[in-house]
Amino acid sequence: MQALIESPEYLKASEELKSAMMAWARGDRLDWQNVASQRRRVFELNHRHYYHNIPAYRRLCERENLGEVATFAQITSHLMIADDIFKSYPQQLLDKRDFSGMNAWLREISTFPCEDLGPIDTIDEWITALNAQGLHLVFSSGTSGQMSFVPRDARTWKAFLELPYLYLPQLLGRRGVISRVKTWLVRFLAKVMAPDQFVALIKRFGMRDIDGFFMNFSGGAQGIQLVGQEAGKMTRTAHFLYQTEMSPTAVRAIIRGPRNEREEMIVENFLQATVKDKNANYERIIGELESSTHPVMLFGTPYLVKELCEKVWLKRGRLPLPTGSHVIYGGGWKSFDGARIPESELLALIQNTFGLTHDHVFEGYSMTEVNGLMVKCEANAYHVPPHMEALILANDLTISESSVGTLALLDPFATSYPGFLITGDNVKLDRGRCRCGLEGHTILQVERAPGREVKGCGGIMATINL
Amino acid sequence: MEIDTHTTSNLPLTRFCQANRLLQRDDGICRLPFLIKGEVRLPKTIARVTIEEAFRACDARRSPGTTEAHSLTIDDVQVLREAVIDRDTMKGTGEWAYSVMPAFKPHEVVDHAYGELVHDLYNMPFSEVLRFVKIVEQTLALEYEFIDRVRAETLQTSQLPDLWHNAGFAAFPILLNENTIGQLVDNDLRAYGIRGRDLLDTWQSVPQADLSPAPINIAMALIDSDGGSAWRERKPQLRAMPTRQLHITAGNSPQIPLLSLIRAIATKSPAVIKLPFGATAPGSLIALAAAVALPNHPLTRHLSVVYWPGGDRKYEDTFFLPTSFDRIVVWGAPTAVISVKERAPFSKVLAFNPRFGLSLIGREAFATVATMHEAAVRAISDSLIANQKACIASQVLFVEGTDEQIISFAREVQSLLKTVDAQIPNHIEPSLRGALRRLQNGGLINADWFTNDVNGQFSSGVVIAKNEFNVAQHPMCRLLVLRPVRDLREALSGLTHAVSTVSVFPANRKDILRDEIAARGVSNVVTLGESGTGYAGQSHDGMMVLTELVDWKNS
Repeated sequence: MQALIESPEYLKASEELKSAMMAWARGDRLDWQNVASQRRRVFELNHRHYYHNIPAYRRLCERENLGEVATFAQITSHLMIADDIFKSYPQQLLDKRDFSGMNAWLREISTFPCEDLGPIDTIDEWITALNAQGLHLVFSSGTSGQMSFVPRDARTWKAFLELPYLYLPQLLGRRGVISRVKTWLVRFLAKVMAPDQFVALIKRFGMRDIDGFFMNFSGGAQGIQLVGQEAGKMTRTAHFLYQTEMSPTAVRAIIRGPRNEREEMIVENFLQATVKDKNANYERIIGELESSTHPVMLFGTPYLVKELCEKVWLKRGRLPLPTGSHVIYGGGWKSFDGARIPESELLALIQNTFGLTHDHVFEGYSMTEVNGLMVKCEANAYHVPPHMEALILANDLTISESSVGTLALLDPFATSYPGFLITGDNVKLDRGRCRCGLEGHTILQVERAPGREVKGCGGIMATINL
Repeated sequence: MEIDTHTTSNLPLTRFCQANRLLQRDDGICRLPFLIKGEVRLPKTIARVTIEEAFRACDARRSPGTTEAHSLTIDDVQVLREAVIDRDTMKGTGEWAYSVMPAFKPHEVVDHAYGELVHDLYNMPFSEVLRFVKIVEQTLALEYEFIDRVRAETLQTSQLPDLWHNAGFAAFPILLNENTIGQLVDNDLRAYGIRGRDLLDTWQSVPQADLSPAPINIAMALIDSDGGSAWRERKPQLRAMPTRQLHITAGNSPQIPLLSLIRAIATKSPAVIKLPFGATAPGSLIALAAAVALPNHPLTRHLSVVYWPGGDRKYEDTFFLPTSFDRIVVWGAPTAVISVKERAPFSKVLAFNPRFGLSLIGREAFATVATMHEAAVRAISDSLIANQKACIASQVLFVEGTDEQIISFAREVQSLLKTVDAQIPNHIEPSLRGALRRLQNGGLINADWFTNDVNGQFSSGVVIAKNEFNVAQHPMCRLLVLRPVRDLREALSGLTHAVSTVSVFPANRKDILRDEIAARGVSNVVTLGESGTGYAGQSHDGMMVLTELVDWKNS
């Protein structure tokens, strides 16, 4: 049944969606009805693919009395998958370092066969070994203490890495981040080239004159770290705040407490790089920023970008960056919520610190489980690219016509895991045309979905696994 | 207090409420009075259209990550809105019912007049407590028809199925029983063989106390060896002194505000009772009964029954000052408990923390068809306490057996739950349906589900979770999570102070495991099917509550 996603119908619809992304970002008028119809056809084909290749998904279909054929309406009303699926493994498997058990879990929630990997001792080794088999496991630390693992085969991994390049260059051009001549060139190429060719060209030449500064780890398969690492492969130079891997073993051990000497050592090394050497890391990266003569792309989470600005001010006051520089941030404040400052203050701090205009500072919104990035425009709206279907769910997680509610995203390019996703975010969705002139749905506000209200004494104070 | 004299009843509470249009719904609005140190305070009149406009404006401002507003203040009137539930379908009708309450200032309810408190209340004989309770109970019994109307009026917004809502009102005479309260005080506050009521009323000599002097007393006696002035052996005395109490109650059962109120009254304590959202009427009703039947009684004059939005610093900054109350009792939601503990660091806080129950079912359950049926009936009895919303209700059941046995057990429970659904239709809030869907389509997608539907929607069910289960994700909506184990002892590792109650089947397995379960922080260890049973004065969350509510004084 793998053949299904190789079928001419499937490939044609996928290509049309890619073309739609390019055309949309260029500002062309799209036939949205046709785009929606292509998208939904891919979802229906994906459903069949999942049904035959993902055991957990099939079990859900059987519970819902649905077979290998399901309409878009049936998918959205019965088969949307909560993002918790990516952390539905028994914690004790990781506690006992039972990676055969973890592989068995991956086989349940993905299309990937996960062969026996031999002796494995840490999550880091497990991820590396799976990588060698062709499965890219992206992890997310999560605020609940339970890590998510999103399994991507080669095809989905390619989508994760490359789809944003189909529309990001044009969107940056619209905001004036890249020069007029380059913008014109990008728009022209996007019009005449096939999507894959276009991506190859952008990856090869798009950021060759830019120095990349990433408030990230230089390695490690965590969602936002990967974005930095992949961008770093394309920039003229790549500078990372932490010149080490973000170890999932360390992250888990920090959240749950180290269980043995080896974990203690891993945590110690991690804390050395991130906490004890923090000032030295900032000293180094500020020094490298000071000596950069090329346009700079500065990337990181809001907290780390804010901290960099503060360190710059402490060290030297303003640090105007070369013309053409820009700052991209995303990923939310997560566990640093206590340090959160209003967006307007953060923007002012960044602009003031690096001498940038508002147009050269922007925010992206995405999540580990989807293959696409939503970029905030000058009208403060995140644009949903046309390949993704954004829906609003009511409190009971049924489809709602309201503009406010839980965000559901259907991603046609997720083929190794179910891409019909109920996210953990509540949003305000605008279905009209954005003030910036770009068409398509936009997300105006993002907040974490409220914890369900626990009334009376029957609530649970903390996360306890039984 | 402006009182309308137009009335049709001779009964004082009914007459008062009819005259002032209290505790009855007019145009979907129910007027609730407060008691402010014995004085009844009525809400101003407000039009429904004004309320609706205010909530509409509130909804328009709502950000995506917040829940719908359920309270606001308009021109000195506090307004609550609750969803109306069709009792036949147990689904929301889409309509709202409103309760309006007066405003108050926090300093109005805080008691600093110690001289008056001692004279009026602390030194009042305990027999007055019993007289107070008896008269309030008689008032409510006499005005049964009116009480029943309030029960029926409040039913339309009750998120609990009818059985539990009605039982909450039916419990009034059981809770307001003078004999029970007398025994409760005598036993809970008993010390050195002295009855609680005696310790509460006055100073009591401690029999056989071996009094020790401090080293300085001995030194001074040596220095002043002739005078004998250094110290003299005294006869130690002990007293259980009433305290100024703030009770922040929970709304998962209509009788909780009453239970808290009784604890304050039983300890002769001046008290402020915060009514919970979702159960404002019953507490208001009892306060009104006291004000009508015993307006000048010291317990009434030092009692306030009010509402404010939980977390509102306008009230709580005053209430959480260390000088405002001697005890703060907080029931309930995690946010409320954490917030109070953080913001009242210098007050003695009694927190009835959010906890949950568990059941342990041994392989003896599978001896015969009858024993499995018995275990299933008992498991449901423990799980559906307050429709699975109570802190003692079992949320997860550890079951010892083969895969086939556990599936049979799940089917038996599912079948019984279907009958329960038919007899006591379930109401599940939309947000809980959402939580359930997250489990079915996410965290427990691989588990075996045995669900009952009503009109195509989940009404109850059982899920066999072969792997560990995060209790924080439990929707507590008639879902029994079964965790297969090879040995019941496997369940012990998950027991902490967060677990209030563990019930075990059969009884002899309980006897074997009881000490180890209790040692891990669990407060109640009972035989399966008995989690909901109890007696007046039993310990609560590991505490003898009245003992904690009084201040033990030495003289």
